[in-house]
Amino acid sequence: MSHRILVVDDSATTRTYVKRTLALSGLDPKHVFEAASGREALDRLSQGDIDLVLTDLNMPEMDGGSLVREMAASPQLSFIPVIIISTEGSKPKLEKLLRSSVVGFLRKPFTPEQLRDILQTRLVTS
Amino acid sequence: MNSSQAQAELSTFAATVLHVMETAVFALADEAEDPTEAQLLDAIAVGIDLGKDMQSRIEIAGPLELFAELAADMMGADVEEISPEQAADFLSELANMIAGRWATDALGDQAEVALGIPEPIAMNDDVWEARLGIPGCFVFTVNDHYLIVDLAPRLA
Repeated sequence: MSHRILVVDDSATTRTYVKRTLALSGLDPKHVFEAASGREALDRLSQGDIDLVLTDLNMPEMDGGSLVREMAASPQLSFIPVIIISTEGSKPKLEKLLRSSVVGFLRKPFTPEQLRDILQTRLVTS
Repeated sequence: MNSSQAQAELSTFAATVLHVMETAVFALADEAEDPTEAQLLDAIAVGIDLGKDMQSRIEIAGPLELFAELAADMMGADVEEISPEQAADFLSELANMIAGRWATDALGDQAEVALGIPEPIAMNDDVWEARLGIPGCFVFTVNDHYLIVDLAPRLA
């Protein structure tokens, strides 16, 4: 895989776990980028070259829902697929997000296999 | 809520904690046979609020060493490489995962729950020791350490 992925989560532990899993899936670690909030993610996205965003929902400063809405409102970012990685399982909230550029949802805690599966599916179809 | 419903919800909560521990860090946790024996040496603690349809709060405490070990497992690192800040970060994420899972397990996926941001709590041994053995305050053993998970307000 040569996709460039942005991992957005306020937990450094989770970002490292996701990066490690992506590396084990064959993704070049140099192609995985990190942001600790929605605000940081928008800054990184403004530089271009990101193919997919993996984002948490519950974050301080700017949460994942706000990030998704900002991306959807931006002509430069609205085409980038987003996968939500969150502890939250509230269907009303997720259904709202799935109307935008969100293409998948993975619930924490997740196994490396579950992350690999959803990435393979979404990267092939996106 | 009657006492049998409360007991059922408490059982669900304990199961949620065990599921998160096993899935997130492949750690096998067991409920302590005697919760009042839990030791709180060099412990840290965190709390997280659950709002909207669920007015509740979860607080978790345990030794820094335990969270360093679990963070190392999750990150694929040696425990010596884990800083106290990383161990505390892991504890916050653990609280986040337990709270999110519990909210859906207890209320179903149609409920709207607003998770707070996990916040560190100043450790007060007397306060935690007073909770041990009270329904809603669970003590687990993980990697030969005690992990205390308190669901409040208590349901029973």
